[in-house]
Amino acid sequence: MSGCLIMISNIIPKLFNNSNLLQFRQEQLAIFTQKGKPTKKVEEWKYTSLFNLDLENIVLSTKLEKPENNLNGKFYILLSDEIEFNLPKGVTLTKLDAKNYLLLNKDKNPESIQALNMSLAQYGFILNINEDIKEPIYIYEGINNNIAFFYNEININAKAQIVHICNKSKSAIQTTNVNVKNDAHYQFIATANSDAFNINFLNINQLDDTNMQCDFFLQGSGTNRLTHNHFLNKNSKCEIHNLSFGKGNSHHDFHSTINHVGSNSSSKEYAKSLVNDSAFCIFKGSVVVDETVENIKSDQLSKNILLSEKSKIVTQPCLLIDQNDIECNHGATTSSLDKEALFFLQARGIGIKEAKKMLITSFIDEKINRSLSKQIQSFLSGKLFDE
Amino acid sequence: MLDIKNLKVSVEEKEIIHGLNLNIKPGEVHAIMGPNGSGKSTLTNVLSGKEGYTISGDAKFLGENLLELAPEERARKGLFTAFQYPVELPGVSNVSFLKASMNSVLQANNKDLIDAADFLHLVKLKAKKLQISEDFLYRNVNEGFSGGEKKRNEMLQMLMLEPKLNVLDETDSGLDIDALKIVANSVNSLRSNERSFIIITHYQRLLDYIKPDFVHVLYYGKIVKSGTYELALELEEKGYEWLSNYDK
Repeated sequence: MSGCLIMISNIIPKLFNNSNLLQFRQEQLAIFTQKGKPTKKVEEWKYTSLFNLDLENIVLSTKLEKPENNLNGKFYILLSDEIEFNLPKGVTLTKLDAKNYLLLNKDKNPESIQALNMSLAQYGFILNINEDIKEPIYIYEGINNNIAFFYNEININAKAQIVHICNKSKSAIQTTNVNVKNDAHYQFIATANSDAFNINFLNINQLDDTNMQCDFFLQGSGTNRLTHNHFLNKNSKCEIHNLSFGKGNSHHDFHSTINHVGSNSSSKEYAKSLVNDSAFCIFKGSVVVDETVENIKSDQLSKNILLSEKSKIVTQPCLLIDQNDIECNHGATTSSLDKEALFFLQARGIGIKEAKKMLITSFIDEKINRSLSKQIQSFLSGKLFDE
Repeated sequence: MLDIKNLKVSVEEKEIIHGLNLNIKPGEVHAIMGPNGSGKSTLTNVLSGKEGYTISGDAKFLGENLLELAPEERARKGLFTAFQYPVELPGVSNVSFLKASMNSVLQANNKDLIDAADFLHLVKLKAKKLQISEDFLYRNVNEGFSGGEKKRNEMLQMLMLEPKLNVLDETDSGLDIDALKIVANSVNSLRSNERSFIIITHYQRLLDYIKPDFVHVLYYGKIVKSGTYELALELEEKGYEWLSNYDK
């Protein structure tokens, strides 16, 4: 690790900096140094090994990539030197720089890998939505060169739908803070390709009287880790859908914590995994209700389908409650594709491959797919059925 | 149409059907009646290609070895089974399922696929015949349906696919009188010289509306008696107890 730290120390001054930022970066590095790279002995990283994430020989990414095909021409693409965009009225999108990075809110007690990310953050954007927008805003971040560190902030002050696509062919660590002051629909699609690690920290803070829908997708052949930390203030509501799709030797780990910090708040969380080949999907979801709040409603359901004998799922729905005035449900199911349903479809002339596809699609459709735009459905469908 | 010879079926080494013989010609309607546990549903499952059975004997469907075909191949060749307990398909709408089913059968028979507009026109027409409301078509297959609605949905699938051989496994169970008539009418509307039916039932009442050409009594895995509609009346009067003279 010492060689790693020297390497990082050498990198930091080369990043965009001013003296205050340099100091901040070094402080974060000190936190990482103190805590070290998480091992599987750390409970939260029990199922996801970072052993193969090479932090000994960090060579920072020098370039961000455009999507292979720009699905509808509406992407705002985060690039190394610029952001390609044509923004609607009332929306601003700014590239991360020394000045704005220093001003952004940051976790005061980050876990080690998050501290490392804050120490090395090199790319990122700040999106401000100040007027209601009808069309979704698509943001694309792609990397296929070395390792990259991202820090993003999204401020939703007016009604908005955002589709945030993180397509990583090489390893990346990213933090995105979303501050929600108005009704919002946020979709986060994390793809880890080949042997890449795509490690994301997503912190969402919903202020009073807001409604939010979140759809998360974890996919690709590499390792995805999404640490989702959601705060619900007074009278706020959220509905969260997650779909992890594992194939090959991929590994998708969705860690979600929903914190009810305000009274009269409600949350619904549906986490689904479809796991094929030798892939491994994890859902660890906690709903935390503080003793000072009242009239809380929470539903949490994890549904999983194993598509092969070697595929593996760990699911841990969890309620942490310090209050009586609540209504909370949670549950989990894991099974293979329903053989009776497959037979029924076959008995109506539908071939086994098509029948499986229909059942898989219906599993995804329930709660998730129907809220997606056709472009994203097609994008995901291509990813799911391209074998 | 269907020629079954010496069919023996076992589940986990227990023989359920002991050498069944049945010959069905095009245009014929055969009723198979029998008490609980006589092997009626096992016969249905074996004909439709469900896994989990050890089978010997011979079953030819339109001259082909039925037992060697996958379930979808049987369906594409014109075999239809209306199941006693149709499964629910959450997330799969009735219309998308029916269209996929129809087009799979059409494609396998080298026919033009049906386009969306023609399909919708046709399915609405057939649904009306079964007194099925339009919103029913857009609901997920059998999800939250009553027992009667599930059976009518099976009939809708049959009317859409217009199969050559139709096996109705206790389609009358759980139906009220009106629904029973609707099911019977849909079967009768499909009757033709080229199309055959196997009606599996406990009771004679469905046969009041669908007059079978032949009635067979399945008792402990064997057809122990065959006759005409009058046999169904006799069974209704005497019950199945009098069959205990036959070897189990």
